[in-house]
Amino acid sequence: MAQWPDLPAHRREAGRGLSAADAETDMSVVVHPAALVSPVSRSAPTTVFYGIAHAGAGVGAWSDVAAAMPTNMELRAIRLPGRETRHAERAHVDSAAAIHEIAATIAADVRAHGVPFLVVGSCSGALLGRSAVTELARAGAHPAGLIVIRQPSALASQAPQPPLSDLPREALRGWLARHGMMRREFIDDEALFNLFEPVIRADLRLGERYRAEPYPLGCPVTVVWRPGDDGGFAAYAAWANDTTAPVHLVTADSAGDLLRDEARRIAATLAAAAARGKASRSAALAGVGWENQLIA
Amino acid sequence: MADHEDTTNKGVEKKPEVVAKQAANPGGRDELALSLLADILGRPVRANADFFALGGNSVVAMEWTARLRTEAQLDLSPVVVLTAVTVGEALAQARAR
Repeated sequence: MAQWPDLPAHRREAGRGLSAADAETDMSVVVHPAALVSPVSRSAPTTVFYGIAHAGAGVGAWSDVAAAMPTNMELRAIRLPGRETRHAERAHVDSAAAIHEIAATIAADVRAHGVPFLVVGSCSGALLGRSAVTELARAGAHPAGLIVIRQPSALASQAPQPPLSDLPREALRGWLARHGMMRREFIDDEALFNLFEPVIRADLRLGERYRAEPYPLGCPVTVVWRPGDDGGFAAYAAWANDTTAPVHLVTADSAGDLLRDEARRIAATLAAAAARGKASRSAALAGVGWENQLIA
Repeated sequence: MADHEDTTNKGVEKKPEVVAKQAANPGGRDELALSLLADILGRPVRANADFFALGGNSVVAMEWTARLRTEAQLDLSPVVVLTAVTVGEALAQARAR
């Protein structure tokens, strides 16, 4: 397993517990036919984004962003077990299995279609996406970028204590509402909350058990953050430690659900990230750079 | 499948063609139900389609089931819509109730 000589101490710490076996790349997992869905299909996309949603969410979380994408770009959403049409399947209980399924699903699609692609993750989905990018790169599939939405770098954040996944029901409802993770009418609807609660807890547990990858990415990273989010600016800026390529910071000064209420701006951010990714392929990596763009 | 610039224009007004279909075929509740969903999504809807592959989400599920109640007298839970493999399967579950 290769070592990175300039690996910061905290990153080495974060990577402890990984074994040589973790570096093995096996894309032989059978891809579930419902694991990848295009909410809005394009006839001949020149760029594809693979979206991994926040805790408890699936393909539906991306529908508005997918609809707002430029016509030459398509957003394909990952559907993990335990939600939507895969509701009857048991949700992943460890992040490695989830990451492996995500990477294998993307790899199969990339093999089939072969257009430039980027990975985008919302909240804990961004952590899974970050590790999936690593796994994909090991398999020779290199994304043109990673976009993380409202998720601090795992290298700079600690899992909340007590764990969110163990919060009593009413406390979990309160946390979801405060953080804009779910619309109030869904939180208050007993039948809907009964549907979402198990997979929300399972996904939160995945995030709590997630261990940061000790190896930096080679692709540009775009970070969308919202002032007031847990960890503050420093936790988001720490994504600079996750890649050897440029990092771009986008400030979303909006109180709403970004994927729903700011779908057009998020779509524009994704398109800009694709353009940067394309440019970075023809230019020498310039190290970490910053752009701060206010999107609302 | 055709490109769709935007499916956020989810009108709540009952369109004339929906009313006409209901009048012409009062027993065709599935057809009406699919028309209502197509109206919300702004795109054609097939019964064998994955609700989410049509651009559906929780908000759409709530709106569709509300309109099914008022315009098609069909009681369909949003939970069924969000977990059925296809739109047609969701409607079949509603009929079986």
